[in-house]
Amino acid sequence: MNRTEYLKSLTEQIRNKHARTLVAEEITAHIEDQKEAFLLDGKSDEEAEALAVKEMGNPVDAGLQLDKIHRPKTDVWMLGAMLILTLIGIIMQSIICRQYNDNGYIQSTYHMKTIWYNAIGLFVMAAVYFADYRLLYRYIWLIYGAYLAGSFLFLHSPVLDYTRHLLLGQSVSILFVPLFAVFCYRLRGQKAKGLLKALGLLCFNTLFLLLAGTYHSAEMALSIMACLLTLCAASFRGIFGGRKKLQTGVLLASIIGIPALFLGDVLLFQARFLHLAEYQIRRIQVMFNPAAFASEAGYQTMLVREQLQGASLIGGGTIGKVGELAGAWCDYVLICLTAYFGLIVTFLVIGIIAAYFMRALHVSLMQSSRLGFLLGVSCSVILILKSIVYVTMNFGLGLTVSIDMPFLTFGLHCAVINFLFMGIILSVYRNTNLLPEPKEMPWQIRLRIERAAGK
Amino acid sequence: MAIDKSLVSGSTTMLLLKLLSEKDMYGYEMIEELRSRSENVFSLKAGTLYPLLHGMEDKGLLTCYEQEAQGKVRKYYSITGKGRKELQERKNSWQEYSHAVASVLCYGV
Repeated sequence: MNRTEYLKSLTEQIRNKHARTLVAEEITAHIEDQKEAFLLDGKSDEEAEALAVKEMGNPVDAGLQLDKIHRPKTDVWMLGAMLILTLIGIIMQSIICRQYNDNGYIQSTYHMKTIWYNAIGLFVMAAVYFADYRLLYRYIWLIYGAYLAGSFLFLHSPVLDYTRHLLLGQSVSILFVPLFAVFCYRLRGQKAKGLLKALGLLCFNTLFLLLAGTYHSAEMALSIMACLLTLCAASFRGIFGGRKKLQTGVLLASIIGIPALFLGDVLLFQARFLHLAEYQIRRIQVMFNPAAFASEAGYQTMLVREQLQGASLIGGGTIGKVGELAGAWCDYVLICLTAYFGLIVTFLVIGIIAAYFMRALHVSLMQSSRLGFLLGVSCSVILILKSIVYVTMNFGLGLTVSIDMPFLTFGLHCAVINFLFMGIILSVYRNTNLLPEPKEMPWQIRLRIERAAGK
Repeated sequence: MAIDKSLVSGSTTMLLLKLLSEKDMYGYEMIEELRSRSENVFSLKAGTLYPLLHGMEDKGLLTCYEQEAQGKVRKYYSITGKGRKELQERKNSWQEYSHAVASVLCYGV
């Protein structure tokens, strides 16, 4: 049996075609090593090759065992929890809609719209789940070019009203996070230079979006934070190479330091350096002392706290005074849930969501594929950050901002983006130990060799 | 002296985890290291090694990464925290087992 026959016999037993490539590459490298050892022992090339293949053992047995391992993985728990949480979201929207409808605030079609938006989101999730996430790497420049052009054109579209402009701007900020993860992978092995390039890209993208017309928004701040945390994970994993502890330390210090400077400027200097709008400064001040602004910007926080004080373990079947808050179907679904079903159900829902995202982060961190790792981590981190901000706001503790909660918030943009991210995470998990890491294109390798040779 | 293969197969995972607890290695290097340390007693075939390594990676005991060394891109395996815990458990079980076997064999001698 020669090398080709051996590899054919072995890979024929593996049903997944991506896994065949992954295994064949590793086995070929092993045969090469073994052959070299025989050559050093004084064997002829032909003899060394034959002996190296013979040393490998039975290809059919090995292939059958590898086939059992390299199968697409389905996380039944995550898929089940996702469907249950989506259903809870739809039920809550339906309840809020009914109560609001009685007050004549929103249209009766809202709960039907919720069903449609979630259906579209689930469709997007399914499409991404079954796709090869490495396509993002292969076409990253095309995708990023379309992202920049699309952002600019849409944000300058004269047909957008203020709300749509705001929502679109928020979506655009968030969508950058997985693209940034792919760029981090492209910069692998470039040590501190790669890290600086990634930071440069983050600065460029933020400036571009601001110049293109997005507003300062909580989504933008969270997206920057998610990118920095992704960068931190990349450094800690050693994806850039070089001194990973130093890189991670500097990044962690920035992640803590930047928000501290931000808050310091707002609280001590009235945002003199950040040039924030008056209402944005007020929101941050409200976070620390809502009672001082009870009749204006602190009104929502105080109302939420008041309702929470009267909350019981079993709900009262009404969404209560929270119904007076503008956009409760978006921003205050959890507090509505508490009033209607009680604290037990609310904590149960928060617990399931927390367990869901912790699981998502865990499976991402365990990925051998560095691209899968970065994509999974970036998507998990942004979903976790959004959920933390939303939960704290609904408990009257955090900033009063317009941010969505995965599964629960009403809206097409957020449903599609959240399900898209969950689709990426599930696709990464599905392809664990299946997809080989994408390699450089032949022209990139040639360029690297020429550079190394000083041509 | 030829060793009964069934004696070796149950402990291979433990031996591989032990090697990887010292440093990251690629497949061929592990076979050579095992052969050298056991004075040619443990001669593992690649066809046995890779399903074991991939299985351990799937269970989260190992992670792997590619790295260029001596002009070749090699796939290195690295032990995880879970892998270290598994190694400790397997070592304890092995010590208990070998102690019990020795007690039986030496009984009355």
